[in-house]
This record gives sequence, structure tokens and C-alpha cells, in this order.
Amino acid sequence: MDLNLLKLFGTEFDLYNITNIVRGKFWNLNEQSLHDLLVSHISGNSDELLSKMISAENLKSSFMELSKTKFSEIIPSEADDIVMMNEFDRKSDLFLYNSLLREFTNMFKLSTVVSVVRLYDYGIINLSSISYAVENTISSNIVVSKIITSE
Amino acid sequence: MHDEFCRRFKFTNGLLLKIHFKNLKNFLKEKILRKTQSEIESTMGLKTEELIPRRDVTLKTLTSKNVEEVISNLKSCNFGNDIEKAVVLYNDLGEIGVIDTYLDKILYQN
Repeated sequence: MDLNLLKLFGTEFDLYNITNIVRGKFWNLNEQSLHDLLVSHISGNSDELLSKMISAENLKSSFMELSKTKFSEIIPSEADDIVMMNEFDRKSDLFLYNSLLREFTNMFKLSTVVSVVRLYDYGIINLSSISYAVENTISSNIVVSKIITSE
Repeated sequence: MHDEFCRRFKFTNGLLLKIHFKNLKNFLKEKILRKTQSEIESTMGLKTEELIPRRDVTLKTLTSKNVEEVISNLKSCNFGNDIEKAVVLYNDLGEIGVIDTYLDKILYQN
């Protein structure tokens, strides 16, 4: 069993569930609907965190629940809900991208193969962003700030 | 060696399933946005569906007259209930991201 692969998928599942909760909070969904959006998880720690995020008073409090976890770096800075959501989306993309890149320290494992394929996804997303920007004459500075790459 | 092969094959199948769900997402959203059949067909490739094989599922949804018919066709694939919830929630919120969220959930659970 490739433990790195389990760790990688665990991170992706956690990020997926966290994203759904904050999106649900942004859409003002009730707690039952938020629970409906979650994918069942094997980690007890994650379940506790997700429950706290769901019962948080508002979107900002929900983000603050991440402060003592490995996801602290994806907490957006204080702003309007929509600005926080945009920042969160970008930071979570970068978080996952960097997790995939780290797999290259363990060559010849299945987790590395998975990372290569997933990184191709990011390559395609970046190419679409660039094409869209060229088509709509968006300045290159803005495009560079939006593409997903290691900083 | 055999275990390794099976694991890798499952991985490939998972990737194909991901593309299949992307097609379903696009299709459902385009149906909600009342795009025409030819407009929808131009955005989809069915090669993945041939390989999985799930071509019948996609073709059934493609020929559906409206969203309700899409849902009833997808019920036979065990994930119609989740899609129904997604459409109900979409009608309530008017937020098309709900469709993405629910279809991603089905994909992750598979």
C-alpha cells in the first residue's frame, strides 16, 4: 500500500469537504444541506473539524476553525464574503498543487504517477486561463497573478 | 505484479470516470441554460464513455427533452437522487455551482 497516495487523497478529500462547507455557508445553506454535500471520510479528526466548521456562526468563523490545522495557510484575509471566497479558491488550488509537487521527492511510487496526471490538469487550467486572457485582451500581469504555479 | 496492474487499471478507470462526470456536468448545465441539442453535442466527446463503458447513460441524457427527464434517466445509474437534490437546490438558490458540487460528490464517492 502506498501510504503517500492515501495521504494525498486524504488531503484532497479534506479540501473538497472544506470547500463544500464554505461554499454552502456562502450560499446560506442550512446544516442538513451542508452535511448532505460532504463525502464520508475515514479520519475522525477531519470529521470533528468539519462539524465545527458547519456549526460556525458565519463564513468568517468557519474559516477561523482552520487556524490550528494544516490548512491554516488557506484561510483568506478578512474582507467581503465574495472576496474571501475568491481568495480561498486560489489558496486551496495552490495548496493542492504544492502537495502534488512534493510527491516528486518520492520517485517511482504510485503517488508520483497520480501527481503527474493531476498536475496535467493544472497545466490545462492554466492554458485555458491564458487563452481566455489573450482572447479578451487581459494584461499579462493579471494572467500571471492568476495562473497556478509554484511561487 | 497482478495486484499492481489491477491498481493501475482502477486508477485509469477513475480518471475516465472523472471525464465522464465532467461531460455530465456540462450537459446538465447546458440543459438548464436551455442550449440546443447541436450546441450541447459540440462541447462533448464520447470517447471516454465508450471506454468505461457508459455511453448509453450519456446518450440517454443527451436525448432527454428537459431536466426532469435527465434526472429520471440518471436514476437508473444510482445517482439520480443526488442530481435531483442538486436541481432542487439550484432552483432555490439560482446558483449553478451547486450542480458541480453535487456531481463532484458522486464522483468522489465512486
